[in-house]
Amino acid sequence: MLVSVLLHPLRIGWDPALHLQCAQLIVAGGLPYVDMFDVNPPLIWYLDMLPALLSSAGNIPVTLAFNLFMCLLLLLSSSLCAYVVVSKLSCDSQNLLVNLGLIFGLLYFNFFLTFDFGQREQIFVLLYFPFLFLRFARYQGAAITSGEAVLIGTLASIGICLKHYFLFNAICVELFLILGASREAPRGASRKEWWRNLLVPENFAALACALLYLAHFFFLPQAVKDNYFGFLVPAFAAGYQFWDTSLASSLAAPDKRGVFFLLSLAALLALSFSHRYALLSCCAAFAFAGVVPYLLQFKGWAYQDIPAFAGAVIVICGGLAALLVAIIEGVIRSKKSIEKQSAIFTTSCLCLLVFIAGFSLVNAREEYEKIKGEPNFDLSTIGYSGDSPYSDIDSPFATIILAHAKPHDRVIFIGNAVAPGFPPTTQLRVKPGSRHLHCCILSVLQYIKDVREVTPENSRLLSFKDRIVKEYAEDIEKNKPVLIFVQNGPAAEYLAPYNFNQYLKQYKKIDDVAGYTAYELQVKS
Amino acid sequence: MNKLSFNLFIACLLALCLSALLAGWFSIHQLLIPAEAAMRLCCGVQIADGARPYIDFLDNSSPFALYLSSLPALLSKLICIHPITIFNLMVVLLALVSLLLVIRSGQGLSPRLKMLQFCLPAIVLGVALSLIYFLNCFGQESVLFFLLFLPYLTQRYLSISALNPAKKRLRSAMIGFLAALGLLLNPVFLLALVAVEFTCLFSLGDISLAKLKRRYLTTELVACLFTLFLLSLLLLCLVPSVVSEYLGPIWRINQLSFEYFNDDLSYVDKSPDRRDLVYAFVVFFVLALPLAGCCLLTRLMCLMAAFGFGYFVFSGTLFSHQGILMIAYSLIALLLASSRYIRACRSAKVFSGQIAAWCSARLNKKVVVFLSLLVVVCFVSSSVAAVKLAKGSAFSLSELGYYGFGFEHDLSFFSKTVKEASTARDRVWIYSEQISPAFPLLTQLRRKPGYLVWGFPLRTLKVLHERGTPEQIAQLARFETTLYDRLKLEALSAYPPALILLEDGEVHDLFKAKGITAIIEQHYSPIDSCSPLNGDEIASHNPYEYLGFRVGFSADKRHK
Repeated sequence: MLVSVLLHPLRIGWDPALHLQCAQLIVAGGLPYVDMFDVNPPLIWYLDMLPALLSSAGNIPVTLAFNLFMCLLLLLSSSLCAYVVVSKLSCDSQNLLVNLGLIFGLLYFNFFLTFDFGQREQIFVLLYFPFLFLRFARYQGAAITSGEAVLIGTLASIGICLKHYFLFNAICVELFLILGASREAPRGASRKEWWRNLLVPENFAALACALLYLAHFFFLPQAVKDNYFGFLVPAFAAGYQFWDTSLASSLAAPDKRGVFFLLSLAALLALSFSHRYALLSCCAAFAFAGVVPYLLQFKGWAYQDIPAFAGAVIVICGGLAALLVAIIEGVIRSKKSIEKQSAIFTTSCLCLLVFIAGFSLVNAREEYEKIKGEPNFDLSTIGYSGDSPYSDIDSPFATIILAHAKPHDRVIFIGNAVAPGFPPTTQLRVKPGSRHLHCCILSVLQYIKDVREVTPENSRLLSFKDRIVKEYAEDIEKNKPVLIFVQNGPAAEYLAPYNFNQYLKQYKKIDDVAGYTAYELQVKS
Repeated sequence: MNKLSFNLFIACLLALCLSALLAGWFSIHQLLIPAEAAMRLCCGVQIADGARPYIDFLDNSSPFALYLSSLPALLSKLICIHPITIFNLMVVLLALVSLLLVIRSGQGLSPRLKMLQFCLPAIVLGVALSLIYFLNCFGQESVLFFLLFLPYLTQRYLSISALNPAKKRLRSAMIGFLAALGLLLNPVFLLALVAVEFTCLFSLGDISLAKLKRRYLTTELVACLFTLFLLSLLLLCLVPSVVSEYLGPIWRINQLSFEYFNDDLSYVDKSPDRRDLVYAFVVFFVLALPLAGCCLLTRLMCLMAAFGFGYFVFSGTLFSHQGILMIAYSLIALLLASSRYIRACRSAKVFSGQIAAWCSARLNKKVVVFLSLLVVVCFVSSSVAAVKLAKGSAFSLSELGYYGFGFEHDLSFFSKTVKEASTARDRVWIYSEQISPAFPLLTQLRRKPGYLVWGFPLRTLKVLHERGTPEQIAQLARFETTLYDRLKLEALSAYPPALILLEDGEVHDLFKAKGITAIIEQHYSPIDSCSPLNGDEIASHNPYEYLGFRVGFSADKRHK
């Protein structure tokens, strides 16, 4: 993964790029929801401040800093899981092999994410899984120190707080553990055990961290609270359905159904070995729970099913390891050869690690060979050293930005989606020319106007449309962005009643590309 | 009566009451049937009349499903009762047989059977709740598979846990036979057998040869495999042309229908939104999962629920009936788990023991009388409720050539047009890209469909021309030509359709391009068009799930 990240310093998806941009703006002194408008809760921006700071400190592309940060998270997550597995869970070598399979799955699913690498769903999985392992160990009666519990609980809490939907996964896992424990506990002791397993440092840490995050909203400047809770949250609650899709498209479309078939396969493996390895079932509960938030959001966007996908991959890897154990046991059945069995399992673990390492090296080499044959983009163009495969930034918008703007110049994309404004804005080191990083909010308001009933609250929300257009005009006037891209479809329609061209008098139309009209500033300040 | 036999008694009671309730309901609603089941039944009627599937009529169901559907049709021919009524009552009987087989497997004095005996009411309750919730889907392929395969799971649990009494070979063989019938309904169901056996294999603990022979290769598995093999062989020998047609173009069309997603379904409200089913499945599954590790039966139910989820996704259209397996099995798994949780709770155990003792003391010698009385009461009350809830006027089925009666409201959309423009046994074409509204109407009104039973290949063939590879198009070109030639011949034959309803838009354009519309214009007169959006139609009939855009149908009646 590290090799891949270093070979692709500019590779990033649109949503992570947007969050990273917000983090950069915060690092530069901006206020969320005042100097940048987006509906997402701010925790991911706070988290992304780390790569943003690293980027400015080390003068490396912020995308590279972000990807390195993700690698660090991968390392942290898998190390913590391995620590819990080795020190708390694996009472025998069979268990160790299966648990290592689970950790391999936790690492392996990341390789399939490509442009969804760095989404909040992935970060949640990485931060939550050590907690899942630890909670499982707790219910198994493992001795856990407070320090370990607080560290892992805090990380899990950060993961869960990234999106409120993730709480459902955590609740399902906890329910699984509680019900599993109540089945095993001796009668009478179960209620006491139940409280003893629930009122533990990792849960307190997770709760405290979540409460701290909630409490921080009270201390934010009034303008932030007004914009976020007074406008963005209620508007999106009423109109986010603009992007809704159908159940058929969410589950059965050819590009999405694979994840759900994987889930069925994961269930087969988890159930086949659940009597021996309950952790497999626990991971399966996490994976299936991931389907509910995906459908609650109902957008059918592939990244939203990452928890389900990750869970399925983890269970399948663990299940295959369990299958391997069963085969080995089948081959050496003699009770006298327990030591021999143990030796074989340990050797298998080592072989597995060697195989993974070898596989990774071969993959890295293949990727290197592939990159070598591709055209490169010289990073000195944007003030960094090194180069990056051009395919990572290849888009007609990037071509225009590179031709007409310098690093740190300002650019505005007025479109009703995060793409295509992002990732090029983040990748090419240009700054957003407006506090409105995209105009999704205009589609939301249009939906409220078209579909929702006329209520005082909806009318209040709709009145914000004038303010948004005014703010666009103010930002253009103040920041003088060198390029403005206006979406020909929905966005142009939303702006048409305001005669938006009046704000573009200093601009000349230079191109019509991929559904957008590009305008260039004629009198540069 | 001790506490365990009390559990058996409760399970029997539930099973009999459920069957009586269902029988009462369907003896009044004699024409109530879901579209897919009606379509297969219609094919069964044609098979009973001597037609060969895929050769004399075209449908995409498995040949076994079609031949099995001919059983109620044959019986209907003998006793002149509507095949839908017979079909429904046969499914009720199947439900009863299936539940009794499950209950019988819990009979015995072995203390090791205690666990199963305690769980039996939960299983029967799960089946009852599922069947009642999906009453509108009664008789669907998934319901049949669910009922046929359920005893097999219980039997496998007994065998793997070494609880299987050696003397009950006949019952085990019957369970295996029923499971094989279920598996043959749809080739995808065969995966369920593989999954169940995979799980059972690793539930043995150490896989020694002796254990494998004694516990794994048991009567029900052998009977199931033997039936699968025998029926396949029988079909291959008796009707090789049917098999080759099914494995040729029909299989290919099914495969391509899966491959090419209908993009219209990406839009909101263009396909059923049954997220509630998925949510219920996930919650049931997750709650049952902790118990799966220690109870093989719960594990098997969870496994089947997960298989049902895969099947739901695989269906592509995500209709309610396609979610039956995931809901029914996950509900049973949840109830099994709940019964274990209740058992773990001392106060609940004491309370249930007291109820059992109280009931046992009073029912001991009057069980049979009580059961008979309760069954009659259930049947009568269900019939009365069915009459009271029935909408629309009743009509005699004598005009269709059957004894009995039906309700106007039970008929499907466009019944008025079809009744006015055709008579029983007439051929009627109702073509759209989906099964409704052609079915259940044609089966209900005893009309015969065209060579193409419903428009299953139309969308795929159309999409194929837009997105398919040259090889794929060439492969199916002969099939497409034959299809339209047969339709043209049928329209010009001595037994032409008396009425033709064609969906506006793509189906209409397709028929026009292939020259069928020209024949219709020459030999048919247009009558008032029908629309599923018509207020009268909506008010007079039960709603049905629809894919894509609801559009009207042109209606043309044959010149006299």
